[in-house]
Amino acid sequence: MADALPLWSVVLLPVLLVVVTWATVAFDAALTARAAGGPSGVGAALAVPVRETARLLVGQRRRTVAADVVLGRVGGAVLPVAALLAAAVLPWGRLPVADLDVGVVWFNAMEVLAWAAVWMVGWGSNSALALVGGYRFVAQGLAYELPHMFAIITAALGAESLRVTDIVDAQQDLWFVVIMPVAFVVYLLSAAAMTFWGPFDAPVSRDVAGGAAAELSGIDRLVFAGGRWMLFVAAAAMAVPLFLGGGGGPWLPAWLWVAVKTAAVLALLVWLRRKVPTLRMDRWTEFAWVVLIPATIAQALVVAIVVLQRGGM
Amino acid sequence: MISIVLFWVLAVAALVFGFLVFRLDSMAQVTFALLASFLAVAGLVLLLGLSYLGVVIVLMMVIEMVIMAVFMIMYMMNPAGLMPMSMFHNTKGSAVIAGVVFVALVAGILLVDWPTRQGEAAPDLTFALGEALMGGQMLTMMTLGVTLFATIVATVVLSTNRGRYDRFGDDLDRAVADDPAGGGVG
Amino acid sequence: MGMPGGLPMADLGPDRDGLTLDRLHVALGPVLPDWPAGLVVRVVLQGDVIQEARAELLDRDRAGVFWDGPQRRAARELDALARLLGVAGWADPAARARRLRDELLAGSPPERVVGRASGLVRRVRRSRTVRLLVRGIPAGETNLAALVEQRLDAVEVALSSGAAPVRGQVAELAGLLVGAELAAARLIVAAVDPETESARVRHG
Repeated sequence: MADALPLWSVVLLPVLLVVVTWATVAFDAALTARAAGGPSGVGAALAVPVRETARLLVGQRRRTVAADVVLGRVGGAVLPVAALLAAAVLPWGRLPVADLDVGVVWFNAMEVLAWAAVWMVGWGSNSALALVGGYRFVAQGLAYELPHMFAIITAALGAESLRVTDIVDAQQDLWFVVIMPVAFVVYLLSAAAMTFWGPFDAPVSRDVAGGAAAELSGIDRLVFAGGRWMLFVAAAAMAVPLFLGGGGGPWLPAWLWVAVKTAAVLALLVWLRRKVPTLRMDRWTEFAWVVLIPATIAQALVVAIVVLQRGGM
Repeated sequence: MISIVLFWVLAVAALVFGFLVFRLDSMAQVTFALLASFLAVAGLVLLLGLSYLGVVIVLMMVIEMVIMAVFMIMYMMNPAGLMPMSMFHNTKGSAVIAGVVFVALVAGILLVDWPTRQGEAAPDLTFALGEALMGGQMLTMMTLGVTLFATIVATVVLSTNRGRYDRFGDDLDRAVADDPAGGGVG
Repeated sequence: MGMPGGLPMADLGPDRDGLTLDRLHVALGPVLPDWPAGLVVRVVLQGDVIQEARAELLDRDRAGVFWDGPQRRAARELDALARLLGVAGWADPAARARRLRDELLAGSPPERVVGRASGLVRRVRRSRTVRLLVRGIPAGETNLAALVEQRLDAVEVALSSGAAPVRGQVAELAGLLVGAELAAARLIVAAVDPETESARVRHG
């Protein structure tokens, strides 16, 4: 951690994450409004997250019979905290808030916290539909964590380092997306699955009335939904340093390149979920185990051979 | 200074959550109390400067505890784990064993004449750890890995009651597997 | 040890893999998103596999039929399509179907809607993901893919000819749901979209 951003960046990080999340939610709201034929436009879309936040802040918390309040609330709170801790290793330009020497492992560990969180929330309200949502996410997380891990590790292997800034530096000549396209695609898919983002949103989908979040209202729902959006933003943003060369690029300063690339990845994922219906886990766990894992292992093997050829290790 | 405070906070947290594992009466809460205890230990490992080990403990323990929660509740509880239960078995015996072990360990910590550090820590501890585990032992590790994997596969093959001949027919010539609910690619 | 929150214990029963597992009694409906109005399906769940099902209609003796006349019948088919797509987790086409339904209900002639509606139906038919998601799920004698196809046909028929397509009855639901998993069951109910109004007339 020799050089990192100055201390004020620690305070700025949550603000920045919330702003990016706000923009993402607004973009999603704009697309929703367009599909429904309702009022659209930048102003209306930007107002949606603010209005929704205000509505949830004054809303009452719902109580259910024999609820496990401790686990439910802890689970909800873990989501935004995990998102924030995961975002700490994201380089803003050249440097992240915390340039850990095991940055990618740290990032993955924080993502996995969401696993426990969603299950705890689903469990907490003592409702059958919420519990179904929680269990769906455990199955989904189990199936997609392994390809996710392999995709991340492939990028680390290409750079011969677990430090995120080293991975960015290793892409100065060639972005990793070029030499490891399979890992990149699998990363995007599994990042959506790990943050239960559509089309992998079965854990919170409409057919179980909001799944794990079925019984949440007021501040509980705000923390859960907000945390989930933030985690999604962090996971999408990580694709930039891992595969898209981080802040590298001509003419523009590094931080602007990071912003542009992150916006592109986020827009792609937000757009993608509107193109396909929910991929239910009863059909798609098999896909993760039988297709994605072998594909990522083969990709890691290819990259390992390339690294050895270059005389690495 | 900060590290001393952190040490005590994490150490106390690890003990308190460990204690709660036996005091709470909900299977789900017990599991996550155990997880909290492990996370505190992971924090202690991080405090030692072993960043890779610490973060991997977080990663593995979260996954393990969630899976454990699911299985414990699936097999042992009724209905859906809401019935209060106690985690005690053989209270007196285990209290005596735990007390004796604790006293022995503390005595060990205080009484052993700890050596002072010789030489410098490796610049990259993660690399050094990998080197120590893998460097001279690559063959052992590979054999171990393959053996473990073979054991997993063999256990599944032996315990499943529906193999591929049940799913695809005796000549494996069925186009679509005969499953209670069709899934994904097979 | 008292019962937590006064809730009854689950009982045990044999499951489809030959084990004896807990069964949970859950009522699906009457309040669920994208669920037929007034329908309640009481199910016995093991995990999320439905072991037993009993379907009934609440509020049977309510007078009046809303979805009446060719215009509203066509709107009803679009409503059913919107619910099916909503359950399948495909928000955009679902919103489009709802918009067309509202246009019909507001009185715009079917000719102005039919082009866009059949475009929507074509899009759903063409979707490879939808096909994969409904393939190979048995529902009683028939299967989910056939039921979804029926629902899509009904939209086209109702819009082009104004004829009322034949609907499944509530009483038939139970036979279709037993053995299905919860997610599949939601899709089956949405694809069957049982008659909830003429039943009222008949019984009421």
